[in-house]
Amino acid sequence: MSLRQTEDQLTRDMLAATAGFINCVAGVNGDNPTEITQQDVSAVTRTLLGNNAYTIMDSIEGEDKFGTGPVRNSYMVLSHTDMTSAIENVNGFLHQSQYPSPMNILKSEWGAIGNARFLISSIGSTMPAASFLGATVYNNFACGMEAYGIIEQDGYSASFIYRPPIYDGPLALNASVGYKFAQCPRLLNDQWLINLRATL
Amino acid sequence: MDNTIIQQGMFVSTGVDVLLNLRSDVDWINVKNYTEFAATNNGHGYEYFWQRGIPIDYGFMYYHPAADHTSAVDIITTGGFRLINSSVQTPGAPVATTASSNAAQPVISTGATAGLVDDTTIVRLCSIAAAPNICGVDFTVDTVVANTSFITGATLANVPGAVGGAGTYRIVARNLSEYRMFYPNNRTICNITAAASAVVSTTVYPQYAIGEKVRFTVPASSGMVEMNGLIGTVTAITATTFTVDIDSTLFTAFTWPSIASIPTTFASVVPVGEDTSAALFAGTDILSDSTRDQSVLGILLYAGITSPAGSQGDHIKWVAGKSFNL
Repeated sequence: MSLRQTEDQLTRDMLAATAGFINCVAGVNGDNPTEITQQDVSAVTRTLLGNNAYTIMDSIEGEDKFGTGPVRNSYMVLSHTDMTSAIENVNGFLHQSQYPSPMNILKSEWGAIGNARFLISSIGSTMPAASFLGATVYNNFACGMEAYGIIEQDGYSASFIYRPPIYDGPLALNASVGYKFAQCPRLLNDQWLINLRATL
Repeated sequence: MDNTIIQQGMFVSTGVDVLLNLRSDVDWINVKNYTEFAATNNGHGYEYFWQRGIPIDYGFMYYHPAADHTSAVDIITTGGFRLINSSVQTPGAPVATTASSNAAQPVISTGATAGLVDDTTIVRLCSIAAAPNICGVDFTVDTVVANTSFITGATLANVPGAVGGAGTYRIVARNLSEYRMFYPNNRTICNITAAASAVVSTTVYPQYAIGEKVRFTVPASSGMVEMNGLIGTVTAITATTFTVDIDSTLFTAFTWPSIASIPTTFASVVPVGEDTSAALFAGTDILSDSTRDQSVLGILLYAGITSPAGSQGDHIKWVAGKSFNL
């Protein structure tokens, strides 16, 4: 648990609660939603394009290097680490190691499918037992530019507070450490972000 | 903060469980039932204590063992205290169901209904044989028959299409304020009427306010595709429905997705903003649509004659604090 992780978790939970969602339906695992497929990613991309959402990342030009391929301008998809195998199994997946230029890779990036680049995190959003068959449903937030924001209250941005023992108790026996902040994550345009829900 | 009283308060019992929102978490709480202190009700508790570390729902109790002011002690193992952190969105354990009816308000048969409260508790149905189109969806429950059955509070646009077999349900939230961390949140739609002002029913009761603007997502499996992408202003609300200023009279009829259409995306509604003038005209708080984290840290006091939240009309006073763990 850390200050920044808490901020991320709050943003994650806001997106899970307030964003519009569609289920993956083109998979074959017999569940609802199904596993993620190229058709599902295309449907999300098409919808965001139709809603005039700007892509976040510019394209990466192809280069004459073995095993690499160009990367399209892309929306960012915030996903869970459990999704990595499912993402890799999607037709057309390009792992970040196959990007022409490592300069353009984000640390948490796993790869790209069409016009979507996937960022993964162990605290990605999940809904336990939320599928037809009772499996965990993974929320994959496909974001266009400026789809959501975080509003900080004036004078109350994040602060990490450490008090040494001499200030923390009358007998100077214990130190304390903690953090506080007052901010609110929220969608800025609901049409520029879609939660693509999938099982594994 | 340690070794200090962090909060105190009082309330008059309405005979239902009470959740106290306590900042900085809590390590101990003492609850006194002033009404029972003065009364001489045989078997009624009058003082309760809880501290961190004792099992869930337990508590220490002083009570009247006879119809006088004599005193005795006991440990209550159910109906005591429970720590609540509603930001933890983990559903409860799966509970077996034996069947679901083919009705617009499906009757879910189960031998265990502990924790289910009419029009309040939210459950998620899973793995119900032959009825996949009511699974993976959250429902507010209604008409709970103890250890026999419950029905979905919302009425689907049409029957699911088949009698369901065995499956499970899980309690997702005890009430709307614990359902999803952030307000206002999205909902799955189970019916939209064809009317001059469309009336929308959702599987989990809506919390929207008059003046809020909402956007609809209605896939082909739900029929009323003309509604897809439209934004409406909420003009009226009930506990189970809301009305929007969209004329759906000539739209295709809304349908609950058929079994054959699974897998599919259920129709949904997402809050997107506020019509301030409509809210002002209706006397609604114009900030009612503002995004807010509604999760709480606190402690649940169960109600009853041997429970800390007491019985209807009891005057309850409480003190809570923090302490070191040695």
